[in-house]
Amino acid sequence: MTYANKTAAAVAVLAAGVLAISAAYAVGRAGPGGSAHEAAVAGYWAGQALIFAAPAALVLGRERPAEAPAAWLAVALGLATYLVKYLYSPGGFQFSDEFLHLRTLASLQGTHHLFGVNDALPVSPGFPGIEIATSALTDLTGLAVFPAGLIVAGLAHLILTTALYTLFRQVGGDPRIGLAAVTVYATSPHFQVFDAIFGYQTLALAFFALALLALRAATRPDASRGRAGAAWTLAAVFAAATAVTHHVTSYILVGTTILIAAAALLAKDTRGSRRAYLGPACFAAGSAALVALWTGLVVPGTVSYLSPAVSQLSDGFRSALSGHMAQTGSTAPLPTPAADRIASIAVAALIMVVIPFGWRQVWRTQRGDPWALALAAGAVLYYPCVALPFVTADGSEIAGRLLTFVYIPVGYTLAAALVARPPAAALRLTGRRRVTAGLATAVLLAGGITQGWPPWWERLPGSYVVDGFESGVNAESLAAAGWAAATLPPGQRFAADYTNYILLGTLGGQNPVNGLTALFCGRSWTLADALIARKQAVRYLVVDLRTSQQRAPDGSLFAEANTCPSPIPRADLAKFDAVHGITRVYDSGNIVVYDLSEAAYAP
Amino acid sequence: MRPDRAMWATGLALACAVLAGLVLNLLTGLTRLSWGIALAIGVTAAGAGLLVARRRARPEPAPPVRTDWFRVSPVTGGLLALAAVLAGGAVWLGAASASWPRAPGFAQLWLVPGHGTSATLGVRDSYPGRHTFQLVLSGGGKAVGRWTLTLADGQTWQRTVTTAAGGLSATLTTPDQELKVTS
Repeated sequence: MTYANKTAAAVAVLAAGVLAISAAYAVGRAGPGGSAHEAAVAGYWAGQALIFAAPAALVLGRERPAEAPAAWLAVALGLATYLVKYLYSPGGFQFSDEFLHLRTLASLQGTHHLFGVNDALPVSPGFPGIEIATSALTDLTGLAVFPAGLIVAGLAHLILTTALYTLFRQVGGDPRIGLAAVTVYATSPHFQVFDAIFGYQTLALAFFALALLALRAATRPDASRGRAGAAWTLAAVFAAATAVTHHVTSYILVGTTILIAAAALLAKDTRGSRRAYLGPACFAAGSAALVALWTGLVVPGTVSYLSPAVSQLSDGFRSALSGHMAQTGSTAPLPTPAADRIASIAVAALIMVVIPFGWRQVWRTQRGDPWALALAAGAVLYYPCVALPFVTADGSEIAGRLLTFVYIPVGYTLAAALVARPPAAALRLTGRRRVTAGLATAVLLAGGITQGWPPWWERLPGSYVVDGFESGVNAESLAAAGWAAATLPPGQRFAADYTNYILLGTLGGQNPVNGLTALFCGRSWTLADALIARKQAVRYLVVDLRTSQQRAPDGSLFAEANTCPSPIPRADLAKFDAVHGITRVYDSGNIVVYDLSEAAYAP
Repeated sequence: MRPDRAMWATGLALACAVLAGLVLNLLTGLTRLSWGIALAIGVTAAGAGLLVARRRARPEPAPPVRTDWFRVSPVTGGLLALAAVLAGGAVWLGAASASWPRAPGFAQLWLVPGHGTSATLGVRDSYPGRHTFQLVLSGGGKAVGRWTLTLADGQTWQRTVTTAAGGLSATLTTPDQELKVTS
């Protein structure tokens, strides 16, 4: 079998995996319980296994992968994983963060100007990269928002996959290590879905990877003056695009290039080369200046947006050092299935054990290359990421977000350990190494999915789960948001549970207010409730009666941590009907909206 | 065709669109016309730049013959066609299953205060097919309006009503429940 045929067969296997997942999703939507649902879940896992078996087989085959097939297979992997995300909700956007960015896009399309108001995610209009690109596509082609957003996010996902393959291949000097590293990266918890949604980070990740590639081209010792100049121009364009598209990605771009500059000072081959360390250092300084200017002049709110997470992290680490572990909320989430817990622990253990082997491999074969050293050094960040869930209450979420970036060095370091690097072992892998690497890929995939998005209760779409993120969004919730957009003036202040909070703040064009869970809990409407409502100038209150029927899967029915019971007793939700001055202005069976404007305490 | 070239071209197009959007925001706003003009300027500038770069480029020695490029034999083509069919089937199945009806349906009833003594009374049907609803508007303890509404899925009925001194209430009887609003 020729190499081209092997690659084409691998692409067909990959497509079969996508079909298996699509069939599992279809069964999930059809809604059968019991064994049919179990079979669909098994089909989903089989599909995932097929998708990742294709590149793994090419990497672990007897022959070294050729250049073009390896590159195209990386592209096919990006396309297949994007289809997995698309097939989850092919009828429209369904992820919470997608709704948040739709509001920014709606503001842009309504006013034809940037930097409008987004009450649901106030920092989003300050980083309008993905909305600009989508609005350009809708204006130039006449496409609707959903297909245009899918195209922009899909292109960004493909660019990220291809750019990372190219970077890994260039640093590793071998298509096998490039394909191995990008396959490991594709198993990262958020690669398949969260980093492919219609959200600002999706596009920024593509710019981030291209900026790094351009910087590498600009600082190559053998680059001609013309090529170096062109590469510097590209690096500047992509750094600027990153800075205006996503805050954290732009900070990590600065940090990464500082790490590369530091590695160039230490690397054996570049210790005396000013170009090797001055280039990345100047790029880091320029990028940092851009980021500071953008944050200071255009989006100063970024500091207050990110500072709670930063102070939570620092407090958590301080407490951990003094022997205290993170406290979880008072309402417990639904128990995670044992298999998911085992897979999450196994992947963390595997990565932590294998990283030192990768370090050894890089040190033995690439200690002169600053980029390889920087990638190996960056992998050390995986260890604090594993510790984060034990340190702060939101540690799992923060760690998951950080792993998007940390998996880049982890991917390379693991690939170096598992596949080795030419000229030594890579040209001919031993059978034992192939089996070990294959098993490791399976563990990486299982752990990545169980730690990633969507969570276990909505891994297959279709079932309704109250305030269960994507599974909490159904036609009735969307209709309530649509009613608010069509009937009420925009920007009204609402109190609502998580799903209605997101939908009213985005599709509904309203201003949902955080921290009002106390209004919903308790058998009677108290003076304290009245004072909270008055202080927060709440005009409307949404009661979703389904919050009295199910427990929230993550423990909280609201956007913030709270002490409200889950589910909420029905009598607590019925109290508003008996309060003088509170009128019931909307009813769709499960969702009721109350108007507080005629109550004595309301504005 | 090499995937990295397509990656650079697409990435640069997206980055330029983002940066151009910032400039357009300062100049004219992001309208269809301004994007059209920006695209025309961008394409012309890129074409001119490419021509200049080609003219200035020094002749380089012919690249070595690549032996590992992807050669599409009939078998390769067949396998790729199979992959396209499988992926197309996945997309079709996803789109078809997304449109399957999942919930029994519902109706929306609202009574929203307007200016002065007026209020907006509305009903929207989201049950599959056509359904008949009974709507009763009450004020001061007696019915002030009754409607029998036959609506199709997605159809809205709305009218302005005058509020009474003691307030209004409306009750909608749907195929499976009773909805109530007050003012």
